Amino acid sequence: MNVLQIAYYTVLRNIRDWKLFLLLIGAPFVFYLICANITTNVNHGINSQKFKIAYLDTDSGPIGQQFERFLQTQEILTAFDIQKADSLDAGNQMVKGGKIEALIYIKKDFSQSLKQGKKANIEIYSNKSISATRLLVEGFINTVNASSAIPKIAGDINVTEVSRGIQQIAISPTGKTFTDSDKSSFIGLLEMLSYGALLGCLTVINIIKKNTLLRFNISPINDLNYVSGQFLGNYLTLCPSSGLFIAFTYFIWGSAMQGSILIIILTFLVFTVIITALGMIVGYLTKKTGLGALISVCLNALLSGAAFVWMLGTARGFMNWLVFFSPQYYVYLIVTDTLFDGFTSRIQASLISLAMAATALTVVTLFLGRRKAI
Amino acid sequence: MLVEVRNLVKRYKDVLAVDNVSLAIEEGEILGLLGPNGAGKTTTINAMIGLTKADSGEIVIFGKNFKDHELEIKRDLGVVPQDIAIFEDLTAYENLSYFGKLYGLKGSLLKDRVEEALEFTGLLDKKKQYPKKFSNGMKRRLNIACALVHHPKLIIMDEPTVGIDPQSRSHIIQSIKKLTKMGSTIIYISHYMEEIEGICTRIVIMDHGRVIAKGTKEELKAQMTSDERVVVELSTANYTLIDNIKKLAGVKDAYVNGNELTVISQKNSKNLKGIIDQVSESSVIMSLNVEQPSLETVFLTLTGRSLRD
Repeated sequence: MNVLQIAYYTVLRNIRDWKLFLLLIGAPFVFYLICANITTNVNHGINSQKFKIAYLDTDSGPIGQQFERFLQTQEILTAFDIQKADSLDAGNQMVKGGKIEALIYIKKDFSQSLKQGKKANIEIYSNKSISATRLLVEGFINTVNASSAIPKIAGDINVTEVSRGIQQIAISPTGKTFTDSDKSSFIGLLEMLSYGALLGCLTVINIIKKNTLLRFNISPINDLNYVSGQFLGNYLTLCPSSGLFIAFTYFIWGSAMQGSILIIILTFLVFTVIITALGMIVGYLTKKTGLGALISVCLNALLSGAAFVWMLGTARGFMNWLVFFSPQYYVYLIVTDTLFDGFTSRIQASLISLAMAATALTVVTLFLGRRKAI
Repeated sequence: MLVEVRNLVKRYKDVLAVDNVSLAIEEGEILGLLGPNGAGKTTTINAMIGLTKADSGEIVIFGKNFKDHELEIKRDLGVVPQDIAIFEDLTAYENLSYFGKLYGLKGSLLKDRVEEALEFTGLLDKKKQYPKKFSNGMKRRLNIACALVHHPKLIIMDEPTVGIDPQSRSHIIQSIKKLTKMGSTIIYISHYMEEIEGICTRIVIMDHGRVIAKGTKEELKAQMTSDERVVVELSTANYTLIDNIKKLAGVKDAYVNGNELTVISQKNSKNLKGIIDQVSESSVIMSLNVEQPSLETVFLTLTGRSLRD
C-alpha cells in the first residue's frame, strides 16, 4: 500500500468526522465572512491631494534651470502636481480658472541679477494670500543661498538634489499598510487556520486510542509509508481551509496587491505543513485527547499572539523574542510585503525561515510517528 | 511445523513476563492458549506478531526466522485483536478494503476477497453501513473479517468473543469451525473454557510466563489424578447420611449443602452403587450426577486459580 492510498483514507476519515471538519472548515468560513465585513481595506497612507501648480521660467540662466530640476525631484512631485505654463497670461488664466493653485514666475535675467549681487524676485501668482507654494519656493531659495555661501568656504553643493543629511526610512515603500482592524482580522484568520493543528493532534490520538494503530503495526507496511500517508492526508484535509484564506487575501485585500499571488499560495502551503506537523507532534507526545487539544490551542494562541503584538508594535521582552519562532509572524511579513510591494529580501528571508521550520517539523513528525508505530 | 517458538524470554523491568516458552504448531491445527490474566499469553503472541521484541529466543514462522523476514511473514498473518480495531468512520466495506490493501490486495481480487470476508462473517448486507451503528457482536465479526480478508496462512485470535451476545458468539464460533474445516491454522486465546474445548485440537496452558501443560484435551484430562465427584439431589436435607457414606470404600469426603449431598471419592473407586443404596435407605433421590474431571478442573488444579481470576 502506498502513501497516497493511506492519505486518501485519512482524508476520507477526516471529512467524515463532520464535527471536526465543521470546526476546521465551517467555522473559519463564517469567521472569514465576519472579517470581510470588519476589514476596512488597507491603509493607503494619509490622504494627500497634490497641489496643482505651474511655473514659467523666462530667465533661461543657470539658476532658472536648477529651479526646474528642483521641481522635478521625487520629493517635490509627491506633494505637487507641476506643469509648465506657456506664458504669464496663460498661467494667470489657469490660476483664475482654478485649474492650478499658483503660478511661479521667474523673471528674465534672474540669474544675472543674482550674480551681480542685485535683488531678484521670484513671483507667485495665487488666489490665496497664503499659499503652500511659497514654502516650495522658499525651500529653493534657502538652497540657493546655501549654494552661494558654500563656494565662499571652498565647498561644493548641487542644489538640484535633496539634502543627503536627512535619512528617510521607508516603512512601506508604496505607502500602503494594514489598518489596525485589518491586522486584527488577519491574525484572527491566521489563528483560525492554526487551529488546524487540532486535526493532526486528534487524528494521531484517535488512532492510538481506538486501537487501529495495531492493525498497521501488525501489517506488512513500512512505518515511514504509514506515517507519511497519514501526514499527507491531514495536510490535504487542511488545504481547503488555507484555500479560503488565500481567497480572502486575494478578494478582500487583493485590490492592493502588487506582488505575485503565487508567493501567497506558496506561503500558505508551507504554513499548512507547519501546523499539520505541530499538531501531529503534540499528538504523539501527549497521546491524550484533552491535553493534546489544550496544548495545540495554547501553542497556537501564543505564537499568533506574539505575531499580533509585534504587528501592533507593542511586543516587549519575551514576546519580542518569541516572535522569531512564530510562523504567523513570517506569514504576515510575506503577505503584507507581497500585497504592498514590500521588500523582496524580507519576503525571501521569511519564506526560507518558513521552509526550514516546515522541513524540521516534518522530520520530527515522521521520526516520532515511526518510533511510535514500532 | 508452521510455527516454532523456542526458548522465548521477555522481561519488563523486574517482571519476567515470558519465561523460556517453547511452542510448536502444525499446519491445520487449532491451538488453544489458556491461562489466567498475566500468564504471558499476550506477550508471547505479541512477540510472534512483532508488537514486542523478545529478549531472547527464536521465533520461526512458515520456516522463516521472524527477525530476518518480519514483513514477509506478516503478509501471511491474520490477527484478531482482543480490542476491536476498526475505523468507525469508514463503512464495513471500506474497512476491509483499507486493510486488504495493507496486505497488497488490489483490483478485482481485493473486491472478491472483501465480499467473501463479509459473507463469511454474515455482514454482506451491512457492507455500506458504518460500524458505529453496529452492535458489539457485529463489530467483533467485522474485526474478524479484517483479519481474514487477505487469506492468511496463520490466524491468531485473541479473545474474539469477549462481551458479545450469545447469537453473535455462536455465529463467530461457527465461523471458526468453518475455518478449521477449510484447513486454517489458528491460535485461539480465550477465557471461555467451553470454546477452547469445542474448537481446539490442542491446548497449551500458561501461568507465570511458563507453559505448564500442553496436549489434546483428552491428554490433559488424563494427566489429572483428579477425584470423582458424585452429587445427589435429595427430597429433603438429611445430615445423618454423612457418617455412613464416609465409611464406604474410596470415599474421601462427603457433605450436605441444603438438599444436595456431595461425595468425593478416589478415582476408579467404583462405589456408586454403595452410595445409591445408602441414600435410598433414608431418602428419596431426586437426581444424581457423576462429574468427570473437566478442563476447568484441569486448569484449576494446574494453576490453583480460576480462569477468570
